[in-house]
Amino acid sequence: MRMRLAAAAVPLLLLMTPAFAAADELAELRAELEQTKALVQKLETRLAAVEASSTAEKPAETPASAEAVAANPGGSAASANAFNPAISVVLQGSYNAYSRNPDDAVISGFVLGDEAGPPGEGFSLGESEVNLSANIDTMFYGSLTTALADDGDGGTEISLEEAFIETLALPYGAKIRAGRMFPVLGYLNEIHSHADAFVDRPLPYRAYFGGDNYADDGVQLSLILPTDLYAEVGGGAFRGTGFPAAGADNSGNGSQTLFARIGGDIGASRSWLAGVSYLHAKAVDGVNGDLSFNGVSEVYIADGKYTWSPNGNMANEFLVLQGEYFRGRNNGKYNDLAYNEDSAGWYAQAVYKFHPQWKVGYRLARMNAPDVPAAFIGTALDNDGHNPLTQSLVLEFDNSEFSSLRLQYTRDESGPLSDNVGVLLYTISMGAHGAHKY
Amino acid sequence: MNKWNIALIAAGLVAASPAHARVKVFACEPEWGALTTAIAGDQADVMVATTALQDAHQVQARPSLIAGVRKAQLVFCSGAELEAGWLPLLIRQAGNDGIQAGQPGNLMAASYVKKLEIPKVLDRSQGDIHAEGNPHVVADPRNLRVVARVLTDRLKLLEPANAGRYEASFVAFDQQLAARIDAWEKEAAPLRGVPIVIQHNVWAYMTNWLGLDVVAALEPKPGIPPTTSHLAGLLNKLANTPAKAIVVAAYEDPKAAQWLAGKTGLPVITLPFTVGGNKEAGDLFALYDTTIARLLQGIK
Repeated sequence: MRMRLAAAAVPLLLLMTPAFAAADELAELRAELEQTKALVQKLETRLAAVEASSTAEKPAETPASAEAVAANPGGSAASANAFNPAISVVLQGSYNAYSRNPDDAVISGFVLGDEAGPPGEGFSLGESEVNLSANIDTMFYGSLTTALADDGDGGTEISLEEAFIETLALPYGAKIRAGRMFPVLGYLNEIHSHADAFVDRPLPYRAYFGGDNYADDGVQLSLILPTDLYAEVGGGAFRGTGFPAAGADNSGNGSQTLFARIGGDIGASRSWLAGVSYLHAKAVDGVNGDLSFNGVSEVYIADGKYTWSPNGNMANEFLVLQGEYFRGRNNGKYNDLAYNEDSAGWYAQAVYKFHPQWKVGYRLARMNAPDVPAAFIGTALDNDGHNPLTQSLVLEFDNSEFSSLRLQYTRDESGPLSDNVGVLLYTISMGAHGAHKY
Repeated sequence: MNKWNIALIAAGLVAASPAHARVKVFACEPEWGALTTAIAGDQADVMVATTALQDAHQVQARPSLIAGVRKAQLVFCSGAELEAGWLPLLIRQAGNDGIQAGQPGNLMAASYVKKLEIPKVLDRSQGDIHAEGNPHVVADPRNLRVVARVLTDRLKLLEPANAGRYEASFVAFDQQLAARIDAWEKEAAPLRGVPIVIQHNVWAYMTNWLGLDVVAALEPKPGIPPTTSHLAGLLNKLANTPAKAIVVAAYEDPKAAQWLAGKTGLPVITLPFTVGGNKEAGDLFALYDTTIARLLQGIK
């Protein structure tokens, strides 16, 4: 025991005891000299910095004024506004031409939510969106997105798209988002539709989420793993009021989500993202059209995205390939008739930017509803032997990243009768700079 | 001496030597990656988000960048809204508390430099302008001396065990840079007052340093690609205020510059702009060497 302690003490003692007192003094002088050298260097750098800044003031071309101007012209008002949230506004308007009546639009074999239908013929304003977001304090970030739309009766409908808080500083790559949100499901669900490459959402979103997004109130936890390859897992629990959920079952905890995604780069010019996700939604008296559904809707999604650009420079040219595959399972009762229904759907799209301001895109989408039992023939669940299919071709002009003009032609065979649809859509954003989400 | 004693001695010796933890740095642009390597050497694990062949305005918050920011102890970027389209989203998505704005792990180089071209009117009708001024600060090597000092202090804060090494590296780097700046200024004397045409004004700090005179830009407004009508108008303008060369960065599409060169006979000088922009620009010193050499060669 004593031998061990002594052995342990040896290295410590070696450090603490100088060999000679004289060497001690010399070491001190050396240290002082080093310190003085460092001080001289610091002063030299400061001098250089002063020189650099004074020469930077030379009015070479533009008069760089000492007063940083413009953002807040008011004097004392500036301090009250200084912590204002970032505000951005998205405006959209379109002209829609159909060869058939858009009010009759259906997706064969699928019960649709309220928002799944297309806009009417002719000029249409679409949704105007206002977003306010900011860091709240050291822990939280908040975002509010409201959409204003015409309610069809001369009034304005204001809807809450997203209103959530999100943590900034949890450890281990964790993040919690709470409130009203578009949960992570598949690739497009968390994205607002005005940011899409096409003027409308693909068939599977309209069929399974009843519109552009599945939206609900609840909490979502995600974890980015500490791996070199991007890997994120997460899930959420929600009230269960957004289609396909209904009725806020299970004491207001009617739907749950799970997701996992990975992604990375292949060299400098290519990148990819792949994910799987799952939605489990309880519906209590989910009323759609002439059918009422009580049961559980499950949606399984696999998504993938691949991007190529020359040397990884997205400014002048890129190609994006992206697609998702959905499996849906509705187990329950439609109008008190038990029915376990399995369906599937997918879409695949390619978008090619061939000029800094021009893109062209092509999308194919298909749904597959099973043959229904005799009791459901003639209802919305009856696909009448027809599998919905749409093909879309879009040309986009972006004067800048804040404005876009899109011309899209769709061959729409989602219902039993096919339709030719032409849409001209403008989308602009004002205010705070939007984010380049992958 | 049994194995326990040997183990204890070894443990004592190891405990006596300083820990060598490599600080993980996420640099947005190659110049900041190169500066970090110059100061920290192998004491830093650097990931660079973009290359010299990419337009830093147009980067997307892709998966590899999210993973990189998540692991980073220091996010080192230009700031002044150059990365406004992607860095805030990365920082929010990354789930990393040390790199939020205002923390020691968040370093925006342009904040420490006296900026040029602060707009008098902030309006998007004037193009994609940066409210705080021109963010492309690497174009003037004197700015690097200021940023290097701040970086060194920040590295010392994040990894105090290596403070001595960082300081020593900085001293050596700064001495060398100061001497080379003197040499470059002498070498670049013939460039004073030389009129040039540019595409997008990433060169403001360089033209200010070397006294070059920008007489026209291929872009009609910042961020708007060259249009045929604007280029046609440039021919008239250059007839009145002639230029000696057209300068483009390695990441810019040279088509418009080549068109103008065809019409005017002016040489097109392709400059690397940042580290890695051409074969010669392997590090920061070589970057300015090749930049000045190409400018001088081009105006002959």
